[in-house]
Amino acid sequence: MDTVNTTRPSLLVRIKDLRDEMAWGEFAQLYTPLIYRFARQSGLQDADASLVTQDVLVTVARTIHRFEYNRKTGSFRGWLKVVTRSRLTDFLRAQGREVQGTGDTAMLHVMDEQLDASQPDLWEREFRRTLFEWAVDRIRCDFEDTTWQAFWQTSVGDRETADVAEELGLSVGAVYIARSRVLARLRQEVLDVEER
Amino acid sequence: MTLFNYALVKSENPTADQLLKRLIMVIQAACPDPDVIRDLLNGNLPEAEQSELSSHFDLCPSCQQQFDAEASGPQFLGDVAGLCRDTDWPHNTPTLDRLIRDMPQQLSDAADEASVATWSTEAVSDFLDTSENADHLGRLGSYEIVEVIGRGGMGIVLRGIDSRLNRVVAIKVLAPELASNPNARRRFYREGQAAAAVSHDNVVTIHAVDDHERLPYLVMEFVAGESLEECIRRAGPLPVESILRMGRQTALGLAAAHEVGLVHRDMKPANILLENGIQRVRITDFGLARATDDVSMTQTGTVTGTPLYMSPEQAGGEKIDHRSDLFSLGSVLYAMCTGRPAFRAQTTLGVIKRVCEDSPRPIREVNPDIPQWLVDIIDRLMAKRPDDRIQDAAELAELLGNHLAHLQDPDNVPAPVGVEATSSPRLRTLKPLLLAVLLIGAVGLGITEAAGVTDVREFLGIVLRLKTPEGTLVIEIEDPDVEVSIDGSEVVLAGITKKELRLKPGNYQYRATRNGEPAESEWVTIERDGKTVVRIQQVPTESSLREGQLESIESSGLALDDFDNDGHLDRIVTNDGVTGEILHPPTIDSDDPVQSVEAHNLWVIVTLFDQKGQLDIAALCCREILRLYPDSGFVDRATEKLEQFAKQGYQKPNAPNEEPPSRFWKLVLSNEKQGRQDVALVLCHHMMLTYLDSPYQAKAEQKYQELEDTKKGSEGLAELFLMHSFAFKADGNRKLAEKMQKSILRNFPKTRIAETLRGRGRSTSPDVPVGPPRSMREGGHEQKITEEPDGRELTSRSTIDGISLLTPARVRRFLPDEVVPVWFGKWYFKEHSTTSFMDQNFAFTSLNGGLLEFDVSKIDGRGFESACLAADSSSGLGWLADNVNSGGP
Repeated sequence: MDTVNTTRPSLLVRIKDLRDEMAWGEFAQLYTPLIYRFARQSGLQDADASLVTQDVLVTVARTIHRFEYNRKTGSFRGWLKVVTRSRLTDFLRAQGREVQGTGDTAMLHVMDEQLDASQPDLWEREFRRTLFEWAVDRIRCDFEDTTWQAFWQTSVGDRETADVAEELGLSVGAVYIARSRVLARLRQEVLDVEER
Repeated sequence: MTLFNYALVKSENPTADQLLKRLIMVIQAACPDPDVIRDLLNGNLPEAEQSELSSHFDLCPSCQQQFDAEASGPQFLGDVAGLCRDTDWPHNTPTLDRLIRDMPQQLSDAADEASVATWSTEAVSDFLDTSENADHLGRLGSYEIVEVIGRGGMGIVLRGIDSRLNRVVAIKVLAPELASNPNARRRFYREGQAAAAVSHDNVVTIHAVDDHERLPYLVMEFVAGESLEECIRRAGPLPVESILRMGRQTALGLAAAHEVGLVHRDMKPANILLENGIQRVRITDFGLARATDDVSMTQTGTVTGTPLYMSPEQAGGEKIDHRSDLFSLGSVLYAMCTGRPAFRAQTTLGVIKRVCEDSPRPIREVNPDIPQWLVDIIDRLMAKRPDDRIQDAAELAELLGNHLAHLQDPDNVPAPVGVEATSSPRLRTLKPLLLAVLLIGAVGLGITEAAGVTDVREFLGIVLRLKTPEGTLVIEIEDPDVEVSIDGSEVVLAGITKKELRLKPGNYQYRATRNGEPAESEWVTIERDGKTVVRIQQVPTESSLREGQLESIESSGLALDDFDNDGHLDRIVTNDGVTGEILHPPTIDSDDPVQSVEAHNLWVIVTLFDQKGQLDIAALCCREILRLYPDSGFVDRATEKLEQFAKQGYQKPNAPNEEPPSRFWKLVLSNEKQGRQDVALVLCHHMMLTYLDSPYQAKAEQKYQELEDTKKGSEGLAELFLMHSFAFKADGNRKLAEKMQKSILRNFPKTRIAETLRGRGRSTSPDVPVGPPRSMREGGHEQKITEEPDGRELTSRSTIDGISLLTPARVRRFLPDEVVPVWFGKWYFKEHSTTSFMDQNFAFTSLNGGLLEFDVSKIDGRGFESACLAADSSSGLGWLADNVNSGGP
């Protein structure tokens, strides 16, 4: 339904050009927090999450050249999820065993529960959130502060439009229009990623 | 909103009246089409219309609402704004910031190496940097690599030249698939560090532990020469002087390792290198050596060594110390004296059993040249109890050294005082064969005699049953083409026959040949007044095991078998007669039954496919074990298997795409259809990571996701869990039994088994089933057996009070085999022995023409439950269901 065509070549196409460090930078900007946070949410400590994240991303980097993006299934994310899960499970298992050596079985339960039932949900949620944050970072400087605040306060800050309008010296309608501009831009940015 | 409205709103100098009128009109005005607001949000609304819409928004709460709804709909923010407000969310931490900063370089580097994906010879030279010397394979750091000198499950061994010091080195590189696993990597490093801590003339020196392109490697001293194993194989028994010299040096090397707290754990002739030219031995491959105080890596209850030279405590999965190495060294000395290992058997189980229970054949019977004092030393080293052994390696070295000195100069050096032999080495059983560790079954089918894959397949279906060993060897042959001989003697039996042989207690090896070709071979132990039955059945013809039938493992078609009649379940036999090994449940690391069972399950699959001759699938599952369960205790088995496959000529395809993905896809589908979601999942995962350029990748991925969901419905896994649960219970470990059952409910909630355990909804917190319903225990119940004979097969239905006990299929598989009740009794009631089986009036009271008779009125709760479950571990669930919540006896 979206007709906006970006001129930016797909990130995936670019990172297959193995020497494109810029592309890896962009890639890392988006996916590092995703995997790190997913790992944290799965119960890992800071340092462990960092290990798993590196492990996953390096795996991706090593195999990306064989990964043919399939537009229909949008399978990159699916693949990334599989890789992440698998690495995380490895880690939690190892961890579970070690923790258990001291008689604590909590970790096993964490593993069972987190990686089982709630995981698909968790992954998607973490993805949306991270993607949002990433997109926000990228577009923030393209907007006047007033416009941005009109968007942020009402959408993320969850404040009443009228209050925000008064504070910013705008009409309610103007706040809505400002919101729409940011949202449109956000959407464009996100679609760019989502389409992969 | 129409143009008319706009015009009104925009007209100039409105009077108050007009303004009010306009306001009313605006408010009442038809709101813009919802598409207009969507266009706005999509950034597709022209500027001019935006400002008009803005004015409308000022006044129209309903359009505001529509906007708000769209903006927080799935097309835009969705729940993300709410998620961002969640304060529990781990926002950027310094670690994450650092990661984001460092990752691009790391990723770019990793991608550069991406071509190093598989581990073939070509890949090895790809992985290496280009060498300036065209004769070399390449460079690794500062080492010029000359050739590949070894390949194993852990990785490869290269011969290289340290260009700075101009010395030859051996380099062991961890396989990439293992290196990607942090545990394996850690273990590898640890291995290197452990070995590097030992500095001794008789231990191969580790120069460095390093990594290249993220693959860790060990740089070791290169020892030119052969291994003791090769030497014994080539030369047979060695002269006493050589034995003493090598034994002493090996003991010195071990002493050095023991001094720094290291136990080698894998002493065997293959790990003792004999340097060319000079008479020096070097111990190598501390592959399994771990610092004894390194608790985190030590797994109790698993076997990590080579069984042939393993100590009883190691074979029993118990805690070991340096004295375990001394036993192994004793075994090595035995082999040097006799030219063969002390404990040989056709199966790994057999070896372990003998290590734990038997005395080896006296050395001087094999080689009369060995002096008694040396025999005594070896006997003491090989004492079953560590306390009875020579207590330390240095002491042994000194002892051997003194004897050597005396031997070389008998006139000037006095003979050392002899050591006492242990009081009664014979059958001083350490423990009744701790089955914790037994690796049983499939290899016991005489495969060792069959070199190729086809041969293995040909022997499928030979079923061997050993009844209670009590002095008589009963041999039953059901195949006209088979001849059997005992202990290498002449043929004692041929054709379809049954014969009882009275034999003195001891170990005998029987060999069966089919049409002159070796078919199976096994050691049997005959005990006083015991009776051992060997049965050799007709082999199914090749055609009955064709593709299609072999394509899948049928979950419901698994029969269970107590192979060695020790009272423990040893293997799974599928409908088509293929066997898979089952390790007795105590193998399972009691801390983590779930992982162990999953690893175990994969292992069963490995053995099944190995027997089917589908080495690629078997190897795949081996690699999955290495990948998924690096600490499970199945790693060594999987590694060993992979090595075995390599010997059988199986090679992991270099370019994965050479293998037709369609074949895997077919397997995925057929396994899924048969309820083996676990196998299908493994295959899908493999396809996803392998066929990235093929349309099958997407298919596999989709299927993977699907299976991930339906895995919860994997009957096969649930069945295995259930079996273990009952085995635990039979072993008196109720806590673990419950844990296993809870695991079923958690991991496979959609299975029939889980449903049954839940008591068909009657209870949400199931307990371990505890027996037949009270009403049944009080007796007076009707048991009915209807049978429909059909040739050899018999279809029978047994019911108790109308509850089906055995499904027709089960009966058909079990009935031709009169050993069934023995199996049941022994397997599940081992703890209470066969006698108590009768005493307690368990379910089976007699065997009548191949049919089981039930005496329901006398049933004891515990036995009945087990018996019924044994009778039909999955289809008997119908019965179980009705009893799960009926309370204990």
